[in-house]
Amino acid sequence: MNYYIVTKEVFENMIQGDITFAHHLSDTCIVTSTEDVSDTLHEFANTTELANHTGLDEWEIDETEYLSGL
Amino acid sequence: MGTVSKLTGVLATSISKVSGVVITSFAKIAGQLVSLFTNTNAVAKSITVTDAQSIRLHDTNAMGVEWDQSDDFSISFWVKPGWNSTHSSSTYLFFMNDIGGGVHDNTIRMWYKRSNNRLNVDWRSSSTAKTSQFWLFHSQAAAYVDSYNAAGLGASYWSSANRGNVGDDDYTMITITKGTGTSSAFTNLDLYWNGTTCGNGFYSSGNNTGTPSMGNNDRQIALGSSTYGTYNLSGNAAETKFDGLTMWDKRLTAADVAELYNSGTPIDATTHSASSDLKGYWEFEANGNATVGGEAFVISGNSNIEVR
Repeated sequence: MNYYIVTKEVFENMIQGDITFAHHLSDTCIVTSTEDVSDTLHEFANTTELANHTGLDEWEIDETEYLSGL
Repeated sequence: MGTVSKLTGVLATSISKVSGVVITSFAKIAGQLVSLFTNTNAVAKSITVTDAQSIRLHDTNAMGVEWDQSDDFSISFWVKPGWNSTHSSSTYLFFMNDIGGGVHDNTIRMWYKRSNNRLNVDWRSSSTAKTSQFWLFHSQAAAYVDSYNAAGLGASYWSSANRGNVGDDDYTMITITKGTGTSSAFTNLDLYWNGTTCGNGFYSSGNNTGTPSMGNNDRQIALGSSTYGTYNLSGNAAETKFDGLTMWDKRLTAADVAELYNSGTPIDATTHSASSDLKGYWEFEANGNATVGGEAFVISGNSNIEVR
């Protein structure tokens, strides 16, 4: 699994079926995906690092189902 | 005429029946309209986190809400969102777990995540023994149309600027009803928006990891935040208000929920036809003391009792 913060534009071009979690901010997106993305703003090693950086709870990242378009 | 405090010599503290008929709202005495149940106030949750800004209680008297995964129960409250459309995080509407415990300790909770417009429910005894369910409100696809219609939010998300279908004073009554099954399968868990079912939750069998194994010890409860740590996930722009929290030791039926909703006007829940199963009831009129259940919410900081 990969843990990123990306721009909206990058997010919209990611493979939707590979995304497991997405949290939209005003102009960026916190996302976890099995896809390898190179054009990122931040990259994290695991859920804990991502949670610490974003202020999200680890359980929320792990358990929130991603639904493409919803 | 002064206040009547005695009827034929007996101290009169309330009148709930006239000629054997339950009176729940208004009646006339000598032609004068009198209210037998007033609901003018609510409790407002500060948008600031920490326990010093919370609405919380420690259950110490085994009031009957110390449910485990096999118990049937219902939780209902009225809520008036204060979060706005820029709120990207979640808001805990209701949180109950072990006293001194964290998110995994005999937890039953409801939270609304504005960024994906989902109302989530889960219960768990550990990180490896949990079940969760959610409903979303902005899609008219067949799987979601019941919740779309029940909420009335349209394609936009729930916020202070888009409250959807509401009752009196722009409050929405949110109710979950659970059966005796251990999982959050949609056959075992219902969500009602006001008096209307939101249909099946997203997961047919629930989103399950192991099987919760919860105890029945006393619990801590919070409205508008978690019950532990920094009491996080409150709102943002304005205070979110709560009113009429009721906790029932049964899975309320659709008719029960409709009776409680009362077309949008809160009733005295002690007069509800299922009141024998009412284990906790907080009106939030003068304070956070329970009308049923004997436990009082501590309301601190900028959280306070306000006019609805």
